[in-house]
Amino acid sequence: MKLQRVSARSAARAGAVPRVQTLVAARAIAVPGINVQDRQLVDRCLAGDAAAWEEVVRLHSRRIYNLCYRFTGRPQDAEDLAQDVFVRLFRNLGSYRAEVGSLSTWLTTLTRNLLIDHYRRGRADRMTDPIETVTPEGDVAPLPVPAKGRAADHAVWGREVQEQVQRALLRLSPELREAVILRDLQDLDYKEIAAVLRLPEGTVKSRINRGRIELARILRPSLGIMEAKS
Amino acid sequence: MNCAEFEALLSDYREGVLMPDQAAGVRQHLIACSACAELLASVAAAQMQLASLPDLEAPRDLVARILAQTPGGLQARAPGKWNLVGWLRGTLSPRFALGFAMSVFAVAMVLNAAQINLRQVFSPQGLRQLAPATLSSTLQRHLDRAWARGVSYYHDLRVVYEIEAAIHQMRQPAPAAAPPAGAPGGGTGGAHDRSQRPTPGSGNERVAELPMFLSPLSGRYP
Repeated sequence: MKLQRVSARSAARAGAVPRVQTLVAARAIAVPGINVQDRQLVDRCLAGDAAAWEEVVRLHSRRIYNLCYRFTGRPQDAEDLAQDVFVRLFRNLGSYRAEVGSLSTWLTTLTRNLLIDHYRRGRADRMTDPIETVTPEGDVAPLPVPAKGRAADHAVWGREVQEQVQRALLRLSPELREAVILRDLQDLDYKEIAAVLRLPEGTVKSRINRGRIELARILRPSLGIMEAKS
Repeated sequence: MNCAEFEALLSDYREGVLMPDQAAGVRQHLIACSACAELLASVAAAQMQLASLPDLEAPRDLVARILAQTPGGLQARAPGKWNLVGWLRGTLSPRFALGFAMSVFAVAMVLNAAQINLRQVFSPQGLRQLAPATLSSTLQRHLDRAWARGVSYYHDLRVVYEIEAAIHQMRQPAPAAAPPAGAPGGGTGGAHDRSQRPTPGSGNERVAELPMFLSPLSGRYP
């Protein structure tokens, strides 16, 4: 499943039409065998198998960290949140139901809920902050290290451009931001996103569409500069 | 097709999932509307940039930190099993302790307001205290008493007393002979008497000025 997803992303980056591959990846998630594997892994964790739990953490931690980073724009917050997600997962492993969905989708739902809580807390803090410390565009901390093997893919875009895109993401409302991140960065299909956000597919599609348009409008002034640089 | 309709179909158009007639409508609109054509190009570019964002490496110690916080798989809770140790550990957190203390405090306040004595509740007579009629009458009695106390407190306030006295005095017609300030007036006559204010410098200057300051108040506290 993971391999197929990766191939979908690299196809997207290479400029090819990524949807076919993404659909293949999406179908792989719907295959019952995948959930059976998840069930077995969770059962081993519940039986006290430390290696199984470590496998769960290693399998998903990078994806969850990336999701948290893209949503918050701060490496430290992303790290803390990713840790919270797994601590919460660990406590609630017993309530995982393989027939409802994959462990990956469940984990994404958990993460999304924590991210929204974090956003609301942050908003409350910003309301009480002195005015001069509030930056409307959100301040983006320096980018964490890109994963190995991906360097060639993103080399065309400089660090500055990546920060611009990240900053633009942070300017989206949380509803649009999460939808765009799950679709365009995490390569989930509409059905999965609908399951994660607990929304009808139509609403998910409309949010993704609006998010992309909004993002394009935010990025438009800097597009010329980026193209010139690339 | 107008621009709003085009925007709603933009992603579907890019993904090629529109019906042929809808796609034709979009293409026609794109020829006619340069702004929408530009938007389409911007969205394509933005998606390219999004796709170009690298997958980031998680911090090296993230997995170790998670594993340290979740010792092995040993304490993962099985479904249906009640983890007493975990539950007790949860109750030791400051948030739980504070919440618990606040709940006890709130319950104590309510019981106190309803005049329920817990020691008597469990006796046969005590249960009568919990009858809705008893509770409502107790509550009513408390409310009445609190209201009465509030009213008498308000009237006892010095400032209220003085304002009331001043208003009262202001309403009294000042007699022509200018008796000592504050003396109860005759209470007859209105505009005619009021016109006979003491002249400035007659010793009653301050009394004469008072209505001027108090007139806005008299409107608010009739």
